[in-house]
Order: sequence, then C-alpha cells, then structure tokens
Amino acid sequence: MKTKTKLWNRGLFADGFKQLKWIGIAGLIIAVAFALIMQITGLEVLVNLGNLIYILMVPVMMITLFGFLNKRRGSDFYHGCPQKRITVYLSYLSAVFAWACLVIVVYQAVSLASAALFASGLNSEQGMAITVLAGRASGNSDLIWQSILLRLAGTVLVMGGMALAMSMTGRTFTNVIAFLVIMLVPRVILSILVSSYYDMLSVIPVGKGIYSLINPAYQLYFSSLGGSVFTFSLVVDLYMSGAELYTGFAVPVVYSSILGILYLAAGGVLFCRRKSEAAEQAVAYKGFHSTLRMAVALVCTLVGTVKLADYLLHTEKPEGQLAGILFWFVLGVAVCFVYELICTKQLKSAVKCLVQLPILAALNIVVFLPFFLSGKAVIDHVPAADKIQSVSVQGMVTDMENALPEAAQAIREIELDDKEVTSVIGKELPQQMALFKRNKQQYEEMIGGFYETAYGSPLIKIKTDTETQTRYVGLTQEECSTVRELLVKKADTISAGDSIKMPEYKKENQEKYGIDYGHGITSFHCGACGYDFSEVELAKLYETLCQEVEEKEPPLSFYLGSAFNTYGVVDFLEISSDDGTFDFPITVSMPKTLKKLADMGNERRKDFDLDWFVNYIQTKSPAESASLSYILYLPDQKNPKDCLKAGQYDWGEGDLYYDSGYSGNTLDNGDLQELERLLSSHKETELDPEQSMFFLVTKNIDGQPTRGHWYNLTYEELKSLKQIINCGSNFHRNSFQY
Amino acid sequence: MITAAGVTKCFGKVKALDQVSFSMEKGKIYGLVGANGAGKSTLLRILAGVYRQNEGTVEIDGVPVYEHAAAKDQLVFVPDELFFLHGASLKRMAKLYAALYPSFDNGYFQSLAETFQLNMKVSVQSFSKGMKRQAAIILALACRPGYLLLDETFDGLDPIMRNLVKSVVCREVEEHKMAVLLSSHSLRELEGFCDQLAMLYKGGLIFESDITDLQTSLFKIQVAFDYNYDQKLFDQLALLKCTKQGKVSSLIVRGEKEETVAYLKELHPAILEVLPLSLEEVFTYELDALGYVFDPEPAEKEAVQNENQNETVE
Repeated sequence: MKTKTKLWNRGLFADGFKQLKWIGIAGLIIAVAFALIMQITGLEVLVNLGNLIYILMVPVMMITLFGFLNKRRGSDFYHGCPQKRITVYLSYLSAVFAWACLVIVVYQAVSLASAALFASGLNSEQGMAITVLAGRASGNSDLIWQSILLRLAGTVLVMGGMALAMSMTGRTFTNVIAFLVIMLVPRVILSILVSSYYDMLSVIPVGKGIYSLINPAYQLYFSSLGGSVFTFSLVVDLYMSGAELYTGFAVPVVYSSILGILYLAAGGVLFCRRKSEAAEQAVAYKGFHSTLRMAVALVCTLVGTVKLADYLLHTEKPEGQLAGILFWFVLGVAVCFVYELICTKQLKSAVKCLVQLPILAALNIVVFLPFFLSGKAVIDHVPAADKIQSVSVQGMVTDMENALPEAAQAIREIELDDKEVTSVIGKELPQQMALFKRNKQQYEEMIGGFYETAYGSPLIKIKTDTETQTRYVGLTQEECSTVRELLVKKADTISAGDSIKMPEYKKENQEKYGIDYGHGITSFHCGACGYDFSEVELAKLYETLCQEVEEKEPPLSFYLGSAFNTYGVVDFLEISSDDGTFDFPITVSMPKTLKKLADMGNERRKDFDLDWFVNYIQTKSPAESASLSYILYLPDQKNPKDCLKAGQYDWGEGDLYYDSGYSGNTLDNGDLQELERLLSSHKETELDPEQSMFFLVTKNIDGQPTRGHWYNLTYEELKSLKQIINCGSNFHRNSFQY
Repeated sequence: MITAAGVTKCFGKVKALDQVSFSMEKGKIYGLVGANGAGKSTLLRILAGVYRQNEGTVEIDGVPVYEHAAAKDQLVFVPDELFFLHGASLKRMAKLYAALYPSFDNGYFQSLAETFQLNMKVSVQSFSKGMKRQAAIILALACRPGYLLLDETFDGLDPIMRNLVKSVVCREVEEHKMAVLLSSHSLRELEGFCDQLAMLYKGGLIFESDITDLQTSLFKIQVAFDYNYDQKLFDQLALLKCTKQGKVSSLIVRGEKEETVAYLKELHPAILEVLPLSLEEVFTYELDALGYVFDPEPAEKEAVQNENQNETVE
C-alpha cells in the first residue's frame, strides 16, 4: 500500500473554485462597478476600494471554503477522506488565490480601459490622477504591475492570516477575532509602544530604523484597512491617496508576501496537525484561547501602562489624567471578560478567566519598568553648560530633508565648538529639561512658541568630555541664526571632494525602457513655470549638472540644496535614485546647467509673447482689480548673493508676495514705465549666463496658462532692473530663496 | 483487514474508549451496538481515521489509518451527522466525492441514484432526512470501498428503503467482498443483517460474537411438572436463568437444543415448550451472565415500539 505524495489535487481545486463561485462573481461585479464609477465620476477616492478585494473578499472566501473546520460534520468529512491534509489545504488555498487574481486583474483591466475612454472628459487634476491610476502617466506601465503586485501581496498576506486563524480556532467568531489579532495586534502593540515612548520623551529623537520598523505601509492589511477607512470618510486627499499606493511599493510587497507565506506555512502545519474534534470549539489548540484573550486585553492595558509611566515622570500631574489611565485598565479587564463570555457563553467561565489577570498585570509591568526607568534617566541626566565641548546640528535648523544622505551626514558631523553656540545650548537645555520634568504640557507649549518665530526645536547632538546626548532644544530666531551662520560658514569651507557622488543615472534603462522610475530622474520641479520636460530632456539636464559638478568640485554646502544655497538658486532638479529623492540646486554658480535649463525652457515656451505682456501692463489700469501675477528672476553672476526674485500678485491689490509685512497697494507708474522700456527694447540673443539674463514668468493673466521665458540682458540692464525692484514700492522682492 | 488493538480515546478527562480491540475481515457485515454514549461513533471515527486514538493502533492491512491517504482510500465513513455542501445537488456532491475519492465510480453512482429514485439536480438540503441518508449511502457505495463504516445509518429510513439499502449493501458484500461495520443502538435493526455482533459498554468492547452462533446458542424453555421440584432438577443443564412460578419454570439454556429437550422429556414434564429468543433477549441474557446490564435506553424502546407499529400497519 503506497502512501500518496500528491500535494495538489486538480479536482479539489476545481471544487473549491466552484464553491466560491457566487462570492467570486459578486466580487467581480463590485470590482468592475468600482472601477467604472471611479473613472466615470472622477472619484479617485474609490481607488483604495480596489483593496477591498483582499481586505474583505479574501477573508470571506477563506471562511466559506475552510468553513468545514468550524463544523463537526464538515470537519469529519474532510478528515476522513483519502486525501492528505496538505493536499486539501493547498488545493483550496489555490482556489481562493485564483479567484482573487481573477478579480484583481479584471479590476485593473477595467480601470485601464475606462481611463482610456473617459479621462479626456475630465479636468486636468482628475485626468492626472486617473492616468496615474491607469499607469499611463509618463508612459509607465510599471504602475499597473505595481498595483497588481500590491494587491496580490495583500491577498497572500490575508490568506495566510486567515489560514492560520482558522487552523487555530474552531468557530467563525473566533476565526475572525484570531485573524484580526494576527493581522493587527502585533502592529498595534508595536505602534503603541514606539509612539508612546517618543511621545512620552518628546525631548529625544526617534531612534534610527524605528519608523521602518513601525511603518504601517509595510503590512498591507494594516495600512489598507486604515486607508480604506479614510477613503470611506472622504476626507483624504484624493490624489495623494492614489499616488501613495504606488510609492515605495517594493518593500510592502516583499514584506507582506514573506509575512503571508510564513503565515501560510504556519497555518499549513497547524491545519495538518489539527484534530477533527476541534470543530465548534473556540480554539483548536490548548492555550491559544487564553493567548487570544490576553492579546486583545493587552492592547487596552498597554495604553494605560505607557500613560501611567508618562504620568509618573512629571511632578505636576494634569487633572483627570489618572482617571483616564484607570479607564484603559478597566477596559482591558472588561474586554477579557466579554471576550470569554462571547466565546463560551458561560458566565462562570468569564468570571474564571479573570484568574489570569495577574499574567496580564505581569506583562504590563514588563513594559512599564523599562518605559519608566529609561524615561527617568533621560529627564534626570542633563549635561551642565560648562561641560559642553561642542554641539552638532542633526536636523531642523538646516532643513536637510532632501539633501544627499552623505552630504546631510557630513553636515551632521560638523562640530561647532564656538562659545556662542555651546553657551546657547548650555543655557537653553537645562532650563527646558527642568520645565519638561515639571510640566510636559507647558514644555510643549513653549516649544510650540519657538516654531512660530524660528525653526522650532532643532535636534542637537551635545558632546561633553564623557558622553554624547542628542536632544531637541528650542531656539529663538536669533539663536537659530547664530547656529545656522556658523554652520554655513563651516560647510562652505569643506570640499565634498570624492566622498560624495552624484546619484548614478542609468542610461541603459532609458534606452531600453524609455525611463526607469526606480533609477534616475523621476521628475523635474520648476517652481516658477511648471515645465513639463520629457524624460530625455531631464536626463540631459542632469548630465550637464553632473559634468559641471565634476569640473567645479563645489563645497559640501552645494549638495545640501535648499538647506544651504540660500542665494543664487534659480530652481531645483529633483532626482530620484535607489536611495531616495534629492534636490540639487541650479544656481548662478552653475552657469552651464542654468543655460541648459533656460534653453530647454525657452524651447518649450516658444509661444511666449513678450510684446503681449508689455502691452498688457501698459494698458492695464493700476487701479483695476484682476487676477494676475508675474515673477522676475534676476540671477546676478557677478553678485551671486544679490540675486533677486520679484513678483506682483493680484494686480491692483498688490500684496501677498513673500513679504507678509508689505502693505502697499499702488503701483508706481514710473517704475512700470522703466520695466516696459527695458522689456520693449529687449532683443532676442543667445542666452549667456556668464553675462546676464532674466526670467519672466506670467501666471493667471486673463486665464492664460502659466508661461515663462528667459532673456538675455546686458549687465547694465540687469543693474537697472535690480535698481527698479530695489527702489520701487510696487514689487514684492526677495533674494532667491526657497 | 482492519485491526484495532488496545484503542483508547480521551476527550479531556473523559475516556470515551478504553483498550478496545477489534478486527474486521472483508466480506462480512459487523454490527456494533451500545447505548448512547457507549463510544460507538468514536470508535467508527477512529477506524475511519477521523480521530486519532490516544493509545493503541488502528491499521488496514498493517498500514495505520490515521493520516494515511492510501489506507483511507479503502474505506468510506458515513457518519450520523451527514455532510453536504451548502446548496449542493447530489450531482454536485458526486463531483466532490470524485475529487476526494480516487476510486469513485460515477457509473455506479448514476445507477444507484436511479435505483433509489433520487433527484440529482435539486439541492440535497431540500431532501427529507431519510433521503439524505440514502444520498449519503449511495455516494459512499459509489466510492467502491473495501470497508464501509456506517454510523446509525438506518436512522430515518423507512422499512422499504432500509431493506433496499440492506440489499444493495449485501450485494456489494457478496460481489466485491466489501466489509461493513454498522453501528446502532437498536439490536432489531441489526438482526438478520449482520454476520458478527459486538457490543460497546461504557467505552469498552465487552462482547463480540458470530450472530448465528449467538442466536442458536441460547434458547428458552417453558416446562411444568405435576410433582414438586426445585431448581436442582435442572443442575445438569447450562442454565443462564431460571424463573419459577407455581409449577411452571422458564429456563434460558445454553447448549444443544435437542439434547436439552431429550433430557427434560426424561423428567416427564406436564408441559414442555421450546421458545425462540430474539437477538435482544439473547444479548440481554449473555450480558447478564457477564455481569452487565443491557437496558436499551427509553429512546430506543420508543423507537422499537414505533417500528413495531409501522410493521403492523404495513
């Protein structure tokens, strides 16, 4: 008598597929309806509803197909049949997966087809979102695959969680509870602990990698459930909800797939070991019932525990906070009791389960002690002012978010040992920590006050002769300026040299696929004119930038983009690489790149009519109210620190541009005439940034789209124009600054 | 051959089966009786590989049944609580059986469905209780099992259908040497159908015998004498029970009927009458002799009464 080794049974698969027929067909109809409604109505909010395939449909299918585990007669039937358990498990799982795949692919196909049919009739924003959804934006079909892969990964994850839950429990109610516990509780507990810890100790930075650890996007069920809830609430930014779906998809896909496969494997083991008599029992394995109950209760009590630690750390206790903490503990016990009551339907069992409360208490104590003790250590241990040897700025004051990581790190490593800086930190930190210890609420109000006037509370690494601490320190605007100036001064003197490399742009990808979103330039941001450059143009611009960087070997500050290049920046080239998205400034100190940008812009805006603009400002009455804005960029090669950007918004109303204190609302006709004279006498010649040029952008003039054009000026003309701007009262002005 | 040796099964602290040993040969019909809660269904489930025993072994031709698909391929279990897919027709169920049981014979299934006149296209859920039983039996038989385990299968079948099922099963036993194990709490159901009988009592197998031997081994005699006598008069007989009312005695005797009658005739009885024993009576006396009390449950008694009434009407 041979033992059969077949792992998959086609007949069982077909049977499973048939059993799911009505759910599958309903899923298909709903998916198609969602896809069509989304495209026809332009309600991009519905994009997340596609995730309902794995949020809702897959669990229902799993419960339907594996529901025999919850009924004695079904369980006996399948346990008694001449099939290996693993064969039943895999054959039925594949049936669920097949339906999910079918619905996902059909949903995607209908979305794509209907986008092609209906997108033209929508406004630009809707059209953009829809083309992104349909994967047609920038001709990138990867988006479709990304979307399909995300949903397939979500399906695998949910199938795994459900299979594990159903193998461990024996009733539909406990199936669902166990599934939710498996899917959500680890993430919820992790999020509660991490966020509570850093909320409790708002004076310290969140540890590196913590956000990666708790990033809800990685676990697709967790993130999608949240996403769908927000979607239903109709308050989420519609376009962003669609776009977010496609950003950084690889990690969630891989993470969720691996997690799902692990769950499936664990579910398979338990499914094969499960006893038939476990059907109709709350749980199939001894001890799991109390584990489930404890997990649900723990979510509640942990909130109370971390709040209690926070409460005990500060000397002044807010009124009513203790009652709030107590509420969470009572809720935890109530959850424990009610859970047992629902599962067993016996009051006696529900009361009896409370005997396990000491275990729950012990688990909470295990969390409480490190929370409280580490918090106390942070609060009580503040370096004295005279012990501070140097400080280094880790963030905020330099705004290094979009800088190359190596450059940002190099800046973070700059140690400022100047007395003016160490004394500022030495004065502020002890005061602020004392306030934090006394009253957290007052401390946070104080920090909030700093945000209104300066950069808030930059993260500062403080070095003494014995230790290094990193703390948020609230700085006044004046203190911030002091720190910043010293930092810029140092960064300007440090050559980036060979240690910092521009992200490599993979040409072969461009040639082979058109463009690869994962490697190289993804978009070009032109704050002034909204150019829609092609990928090839952007690649060429980036090549020019790289060549110029190589020739000039700029200092460290160049790589910090918006953080340090506070002058002479015309625009930014935003580059996405494998390591992230970075901004590179295009400045007057990079004339070749600037010329390339200007030439590309002018090529794109050939239809810009300078005469029309001159005529417009000549005939427009200053007192006439109209929606108009124009901006002049005046990069000055000879005085890079004196580049100007000037603009006029709301003709006749005359305010709102950069300087919030500006209140003038009349135009100086003399100034305007001078501007008209300069513009009228201008002749088109080849652009030469080494000499001088200016950039004119017009927006919203008589409903015209935003347009811009670069012009050559003589240096004398530039000076004259700058003088008008500097002297005239009708322009809002600022040095180039982002 | 199915052999169960020293099988023990516990549910928590309750011992449902205790050291049960049992064997089933092909070509025979076995009856398993016992009151409710005696462990009949548990034993069947263990034999079918649904439950795993805590102790002992259950094998088919030397191969453990539990989790051995090849061993299970030879048997089909029809439980007391039948399983049908929600809303499935008999035809749909046949497809499920065909997917699960490699030896499923669709042609035979069709012919059985015709014999039992069951509608293959309507939902099995709409069938009556008896029809559901028939459906389960023909699905099981269509699997062409070497061993068929039936748990309270005749429950809900009318006498005509019961006879039809019995005849179909008997034909399978004769033609294909199928072995059948049929559990019931009613001895009357098994009478005239089984070759072997076994009894479970509080989780233990207390009795196993060939049914023909059983029915011929005991007989009842009513005897009266004109003279005074006492029980010592029957000392030469293998008496299981003796009751005396006046001059009339009722004897339950084990042994050869002719020899016993000849012996009694020599004692010049005024009345001598040999009466047949029902299987139930044989069982009762045998168990009584073993020190057990076989008392069919009230439900069973009621069922028997109903059955008698039905038979009278028919």
